[in-house]
Amino acid sequence: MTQGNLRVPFVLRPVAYLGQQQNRYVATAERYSTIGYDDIVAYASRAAHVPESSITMAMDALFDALNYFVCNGHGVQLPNLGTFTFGINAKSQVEESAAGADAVYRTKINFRPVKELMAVLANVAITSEPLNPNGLSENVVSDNLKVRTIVASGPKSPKFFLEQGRAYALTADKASKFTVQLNGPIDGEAYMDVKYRSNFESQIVRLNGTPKGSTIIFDANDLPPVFELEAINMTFFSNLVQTKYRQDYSVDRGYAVLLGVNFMGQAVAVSNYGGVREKVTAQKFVTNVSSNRTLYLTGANLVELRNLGVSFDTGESPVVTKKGDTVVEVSVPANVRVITIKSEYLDVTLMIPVDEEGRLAPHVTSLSANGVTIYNGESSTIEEEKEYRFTLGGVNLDLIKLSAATFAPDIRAKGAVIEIISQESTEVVFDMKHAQTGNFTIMDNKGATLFEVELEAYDPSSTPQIYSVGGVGNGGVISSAPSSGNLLVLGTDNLTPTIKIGNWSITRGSVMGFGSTGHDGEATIDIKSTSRVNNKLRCTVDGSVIFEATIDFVNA
Amino acid sequence: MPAVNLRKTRQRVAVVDEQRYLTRVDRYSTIPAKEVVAYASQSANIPESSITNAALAIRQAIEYFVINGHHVNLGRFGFLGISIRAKSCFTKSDVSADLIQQVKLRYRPSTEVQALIDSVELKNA
Repeated sequence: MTQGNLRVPFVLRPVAYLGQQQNRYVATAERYSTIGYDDIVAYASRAAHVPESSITMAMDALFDALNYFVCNGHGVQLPNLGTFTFGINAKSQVEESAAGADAVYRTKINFRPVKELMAVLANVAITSEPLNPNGLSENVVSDNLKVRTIVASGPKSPKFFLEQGRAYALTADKASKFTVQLNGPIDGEAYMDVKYRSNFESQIVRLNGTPKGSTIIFDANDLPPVFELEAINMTFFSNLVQTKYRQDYSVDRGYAVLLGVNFMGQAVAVSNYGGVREKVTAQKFVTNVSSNRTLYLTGANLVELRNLGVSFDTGESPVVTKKGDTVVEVSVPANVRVITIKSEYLDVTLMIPVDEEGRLAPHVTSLSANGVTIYNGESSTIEEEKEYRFTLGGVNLDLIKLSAATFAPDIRAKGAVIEIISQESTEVVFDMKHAQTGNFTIMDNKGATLFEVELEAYDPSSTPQIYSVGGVGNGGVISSAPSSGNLLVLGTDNLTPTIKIGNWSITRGSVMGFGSTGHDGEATIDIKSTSRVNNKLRCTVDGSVIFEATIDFVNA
Repeated sequence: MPAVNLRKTRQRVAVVDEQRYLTRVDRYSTIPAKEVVAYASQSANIPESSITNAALAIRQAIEYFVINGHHVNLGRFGFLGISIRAKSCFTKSDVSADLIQQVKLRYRPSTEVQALIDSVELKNA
């Protein structure tokens, strides 16, 4: 018999007891989600090897029978399901004449399940825990356990995770890390609950399902778990992706990213970023687009992301600046940087958190798309895609075909790794405000170095400067270092690159850029602007624009 | 128009501690599953086995989802979910699964079903 798992939290709430209001812990059956009828039929069809059409027709036929019999005063036994009967609520009357139809104030239908169905309920494992009035856990778990990792590679059967028990309790001490990774193929009905607690506060991440071939990673790397993230509930069914923040939460400092790929091959991300000290009150914001290809979602805590619509929960009241068939743009808070990846098959927005001082919190984010996972340099091949490898601050950054990516992370955190997978290369934006010493390497998809740039430290309190710049490529040499200013490097073709500085100029506080080219061409990048804000960089080959970039400077 | 007969019974009502007249539905019979399937099969021209198998498959789906905390949409029929009957307690240290007295299956009719029920004519016997 199927073993179920049910979480029944006890919420502290005022109740009337013996004529007085008292705070008592009251059980509430937690509803994870509502499974749609189509999903039920699809599941039943697969489980019982009955065509969906047969199930639908049979249910309609049974409904007609129900309609016919129940509405004429009969009880109806539906096979294998239960008995439906017509019922009423009526007031009792002193006089016989007052009783009858006039005394009825409500009509209803009663359902009594078959005994097999009731027997299953007796086999449900129940997990209970007390919650405070805000719905947050009050349990404090010992912090003497170290990092725990769950990597669940399941068979196709979705029962795998159910049979393993849907509740996994994880405890971790400070500055710890855990990863939840669901490796496909999973047919969209995998379940996993994760609880992460410390002696400071609680955190619960619940993943109800992951799409086929995807990976979901939750990572709180190297951060003291001084943040609360309560009940993310993700459900993947068919082409529907839902993520929900069920409760208010507070963030002191911390970062979490949940990433996955839905059935349409679109990547989805749910981020919770640090730097917000005050309690965030949920204010649901919903918008829908019919065929979004580009999503700009920042400053919001994404609670629901669907293929064709987006809604998210935020205390910052994001403003939709553009809404239409193709683009949704939302205002970007000052303390958040954003990576946007867009292509024919991929829509992703990844939020980069910064703390109150504008520094990037140490973190690791990872992203997989279209069923392909890239993590810690383990690259996978996507058909007709290019591969570039970046090294920032001595830490590898894998980039497989940067696609229309605009990302402006403060590259300050030592050990920061950003991995991006996408389709087409178009645009890259770096904010180098907090860049420290490191190497910046662009490699082709065969691992050959196209060129490298050394980046030396600067004093963030002064004007951003790069003391030396070096470029090494297939024939390309940078012989001069700029006198001062920041640095921008990007834009190559992965075919036998030749790097030459066709035209560059740099002044204090500005940017030097350089690029490569294809087989025989010569890349020319002209840096015209000396403004520290929104510098434009354009890379051309033989007069054709390869990419354009914007360099966003921030005064230290 | 579908109609249901009502009957009146006189019995003691504990709340007011007196004899009163109560109104009840006069249920004619309970149609067994076999006859319901036969009726559905005949009216929709579907083999009886298909209906039985489909209902069984739906029940399995209900089991699978409901006992794991999900509510289930049964289309035109309505929704099924779990409800809990449990004792409350004063302190969090008293919280435990032992307080839960019963796990029940809760049915909520669809608007279509509710509309059908509301349209039933009530007749006094």
